[in-house]
Amino acid sequence: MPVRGVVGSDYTKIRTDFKTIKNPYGDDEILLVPAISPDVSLIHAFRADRYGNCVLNSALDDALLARASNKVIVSAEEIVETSELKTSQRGNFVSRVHVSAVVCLPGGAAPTSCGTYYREKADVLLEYLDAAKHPERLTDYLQEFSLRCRNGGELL
Amino acid sequence: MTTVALHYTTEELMAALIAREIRNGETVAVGTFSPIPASGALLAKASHAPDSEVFIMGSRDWWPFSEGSLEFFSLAQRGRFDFFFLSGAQIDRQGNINLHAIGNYSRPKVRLPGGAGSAMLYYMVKKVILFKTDHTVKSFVETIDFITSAASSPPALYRPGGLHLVITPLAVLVKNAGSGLLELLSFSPGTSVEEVRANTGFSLPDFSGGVTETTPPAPEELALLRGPVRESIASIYPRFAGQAFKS
Repeated sequence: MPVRGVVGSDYTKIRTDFKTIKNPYGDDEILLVPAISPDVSLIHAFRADRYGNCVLNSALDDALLARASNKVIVSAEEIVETSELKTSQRGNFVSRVHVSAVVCLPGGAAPTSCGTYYREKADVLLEYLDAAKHPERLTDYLQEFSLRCRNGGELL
Repeated sequence: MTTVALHYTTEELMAALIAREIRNGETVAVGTFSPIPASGALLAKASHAPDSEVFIMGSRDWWPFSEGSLEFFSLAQRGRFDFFFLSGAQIDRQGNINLHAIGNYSRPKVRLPGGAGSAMLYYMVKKVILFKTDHTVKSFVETIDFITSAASSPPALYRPGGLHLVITPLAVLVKNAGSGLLELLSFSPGTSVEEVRANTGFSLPDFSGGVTETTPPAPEELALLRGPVRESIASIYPRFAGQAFKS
């Protein structure tokens, strides 16, 4: 993929897979970088239907990620009928074509925010930042975090 | 640092300096972790640049995109932004920035977050302002450990944009078009040319047009910053909004 700029920085020293070529459509030189195709992407959507069609946060690059990845697991705040998947400026539609599995997971973006569903929880994020400095406390944090839901998304 | 009682904060001064650079109708884009540039952009919009387009990453109100940062960076690569704001853990005398590592890249003393889009934006945004909230000999250094984004590039590369100004709590620096090196344009009230030089790790010549004292924020600028700008910033940077503005 072509990218403007970059040449002249130290990226080209550490990324030998970045190539500079003569722009075939101009007189300038341009950098090429290899496309990234993740093996698996975990994406949290606002709503999804049971086939994998979903509407997700358009402020993020989640739709791009879904289309670039080899396997996509979508979790969603709500599982709805296909007819209820409405897009807006805030929500992008991603086709089931790109999605391998769907999980109902209300609160799945917490402690970060999720569109109009909920805001970020600053105190929990600070707690995480603090715990992350100590391996044993991080283990406790993750243990507690992974057990916060039961029965497919019911928050304890 | 000389202690002088000022009636404004460092953040308010830097935001006002940024706002004064923006002309009405220009497109101003603000990236992540940039509360001071966001305040400056909104101050300009609220005062002399009502027709300017302002984009702020992380904001709902100032982010009219529907394809995430893909759409934002594509616009930037088309040369559609007049202003963007970058910073660095280190900045050298040419205005190169380091967001990668302190020390050797493969065995760093400190690993930094990385450059995100800066290695493209510095080239493609017409006027890039470097802002830095600390001005010390450790941050303004002769040689940086890693060039994340370069102030100059090979002539064969298409580059419509580059460094406009460097803004710090102590000073405003500008690039000499001939030498490509940073020069002292103005120093903040309460500091001095000597203090700025003592806190800069490379030799800093005077701007050829002369060095002046920075004009402090005017009452009208402060009123807007502490009113509508603070309110708007609070939805993006609540902690910053609570601390950066004087009541």
